[in-house]
Amino acid sequence: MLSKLPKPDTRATYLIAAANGLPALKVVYEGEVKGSDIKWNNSLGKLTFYVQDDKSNRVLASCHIGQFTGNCGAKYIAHLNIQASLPKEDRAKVLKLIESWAFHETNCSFIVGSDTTYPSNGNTITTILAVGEGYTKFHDVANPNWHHKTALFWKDIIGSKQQHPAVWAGRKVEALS
Amino acid sequence: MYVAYPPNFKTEAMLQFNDAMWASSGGVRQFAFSVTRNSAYPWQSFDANVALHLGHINGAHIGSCYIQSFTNHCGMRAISGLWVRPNVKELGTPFLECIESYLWQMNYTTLIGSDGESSGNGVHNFIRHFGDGWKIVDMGINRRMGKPQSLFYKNMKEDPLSPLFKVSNFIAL
Repeated sequence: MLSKLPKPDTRATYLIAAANGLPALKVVYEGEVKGSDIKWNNSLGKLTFYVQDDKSNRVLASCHIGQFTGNCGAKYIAHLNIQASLPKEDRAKVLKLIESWAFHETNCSFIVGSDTTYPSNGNTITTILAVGEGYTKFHDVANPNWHHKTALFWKDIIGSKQQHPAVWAGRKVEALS
Repeated sequence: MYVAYPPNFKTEAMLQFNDAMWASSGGVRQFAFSVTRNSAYPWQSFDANVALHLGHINGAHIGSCYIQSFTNHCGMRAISGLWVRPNVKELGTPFLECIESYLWQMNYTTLIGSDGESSGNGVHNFIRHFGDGWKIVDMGINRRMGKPQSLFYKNMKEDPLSPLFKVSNFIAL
């Protein structure tokens, strides 16, 4: 039987030099991970992930990344928000940065998510459809809870030709665990 | 569709099938669960793990699975750690049907999971053998294990369940 809550025990800050047309960024994540070993294999929990402008600290993007089966290869993404004021190409770069972080800092091979699609698209799937590359979206399915529809989507980070793992070049400057 | 909740769902509870359910459950008698965190009514947007354990009439622990919130999205839940003892493989299908029916009555529409060939028989193989109405997708190669990984999901709305295991018929122990 599961008995105890995981404690908020994870926080890290990374600095990323200006590159790829993006300014110098700061990536901060915090949250709770339970049962993690090397690179988060066999872990459960979630992180709240922020991408900030390093100078102004303005949050350019945020999302949740977490485990959903304890499997080393797959992570979920949720509550994805990327500043709508950013040019589309920059929004795409920020999403790739998040994907690339998962690729390099965990053993993530696959990103999976789900979101509302009716009566209107949720923020996560709106962003994925607008600037994501290499994602497969399954058809909508009715959800009886709120009389809306939802859809699953996923991406093979390695297999996608559009992915550029080298996007992530964060230098960890703070880590508490 | 809102249904009555099992008693004390915030902690641990053990439910027992009534006689009619028992007759059709292939020897599965008890269905226990525990929840590690409070949840929002009615389990929407909750962030917790639920462990479901299967007990035989003789008291033996013969199977388990874990249900976890997935993206905190109501209607969607992740399934993992699904197994039954090898000597009671005939209970694989009833157990999975029991889990699906239980979750369906808890308002969940879709179950999703992912694992690879490297993790023993794996949940995807359990579902391949014992599941009905599931879709299994080849995701590609798990970079750490270097072996194929599958995504599996079931949209229960598309494949309506016969509510074999009605939650309202459970007897709380």
